[in-house]
Amino acid sequence: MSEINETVQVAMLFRAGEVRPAAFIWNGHRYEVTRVTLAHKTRLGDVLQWHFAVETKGGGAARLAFDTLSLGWQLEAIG
Amino acid sequence: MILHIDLNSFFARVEQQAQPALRNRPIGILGKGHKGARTCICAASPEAKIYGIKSGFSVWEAKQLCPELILVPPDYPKYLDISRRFMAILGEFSPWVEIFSIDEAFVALQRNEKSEIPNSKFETNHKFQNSRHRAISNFSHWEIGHSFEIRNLKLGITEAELQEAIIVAQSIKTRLKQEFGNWITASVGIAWGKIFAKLAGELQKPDGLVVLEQKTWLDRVGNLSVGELCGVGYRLQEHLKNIGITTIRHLSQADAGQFVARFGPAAGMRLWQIGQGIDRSPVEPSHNLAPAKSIGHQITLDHDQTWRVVYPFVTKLLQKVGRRLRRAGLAAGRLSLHVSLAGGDWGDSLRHQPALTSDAALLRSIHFLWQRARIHPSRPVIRLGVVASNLKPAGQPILPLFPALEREDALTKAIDKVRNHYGEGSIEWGSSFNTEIGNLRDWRGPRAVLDQ
Repeated sequence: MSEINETVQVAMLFRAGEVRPAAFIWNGHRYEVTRVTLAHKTRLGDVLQWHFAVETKGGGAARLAFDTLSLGWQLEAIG
Repeated sequence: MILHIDLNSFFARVEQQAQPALRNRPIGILGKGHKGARTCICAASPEAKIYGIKSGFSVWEAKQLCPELILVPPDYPKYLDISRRFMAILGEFSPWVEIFSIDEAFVALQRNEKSEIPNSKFETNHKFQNSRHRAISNFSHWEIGHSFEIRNLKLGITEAELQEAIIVAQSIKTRLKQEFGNWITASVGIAWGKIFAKLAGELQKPDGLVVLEQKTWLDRVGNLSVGELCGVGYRLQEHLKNIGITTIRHLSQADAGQFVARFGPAAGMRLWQIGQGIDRSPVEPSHNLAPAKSIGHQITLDHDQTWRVVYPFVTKLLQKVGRRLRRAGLAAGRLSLHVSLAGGDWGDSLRHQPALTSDAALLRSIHFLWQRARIHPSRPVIRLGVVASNLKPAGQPILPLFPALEREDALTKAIDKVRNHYGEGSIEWGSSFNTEIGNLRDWRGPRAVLDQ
């Protein structure tokens, strides 16, 4: 996977207690998330970040991070 | 009954769970400082282990054995979060969970002699009873013969206890799959004592579930090397070999007197008891553990650097030690500096009265040790370590007679506040600026540097 670390727009899915990224736009291209393979959280100081390892339509993979202070998303890596 | 739960090839399996492209392929997780010449493999996937690759192998060695090995940089914050959630799952089934390492733990299903829990924290056991009852009611039957046997026990453990342990083990494995996915698996060993539960867990990997019974354990594991027992390391194994003991069966046939004479009354008796299938060591929940006796950090440098240029690493390590001291509400009565040099090791320490807590006081002390070292500036350094010991409770007020100390204390509190808010690397002493330990950015926002 290549490290990207760029701000991206993400569409979220809220369903029966499940919250997960459904799609994101990067470099003008829309990527559909088919599955979250692993989610974990980290702390930078007092800010909580959620990290999602996802599979995208077409067999790709990506890592997205959600910052709970800025409510912003970052594409950490894609491959 | 005691369960030993071990997450299989933990770091590697976490990466395989997160990245489907790595599944079913030999991967090796790199150690800290993974860009340097001394980089080693800190975890290997089961597919890599088939080639004989183990933790601690150098990248060069590993690549010789398996040229197609995929090297993956480590992500410790991720492993820590998964580990915390793993321990929380175990806590759903019993209040007696002993964390043995980042990826393994013991769970006692019945209270044992010393594993008391404070009443205030666990006033009732409803939470655990509910999880267990739910687990039992979900299992109208369980498969027998896959990897474990159920027999009548006559040695203090009832069949109901054994059955409950098996159901709890299966439920833990199911919960892990629900929480993390199919690639993070655990091997569970069930036995009457911790050592034997761990041994049972080792018998089937990955994703095993093995019960060792007191009545038949020796038939099952008698031919295994004594080195398979937890606590029997290489040196003890060599000692035992010298007196003709190489297998667990040999250990069971040995004479207690011979052990006591050779290893002393405590260690000798303990070894003999293990041979007899006796292990009464309790499962100690973390809140029962004795407080830390020392707090230390060390680093193996990526490549040899001379004594002249390694001081920034020392102060970086010291700041990590200071931070942990203050978080634990402790002060250092002694500060030590350890250095591994090409051609020998060196170490020195200073006692302190009163004990130290502030960064400035710790830095003064380490600087004194540094100057006292008298190591030639061009001598290559391999490893550095800083240890705070003789720990005492912090918090004694500073006498107003020493306003400079009061200022240092206030400065440390301010620095800690910034670190709490922005992350560990957000502010640091000038002497350690731009010194990387680990590879992750550990702060957010702007970064501040203090003059030393």
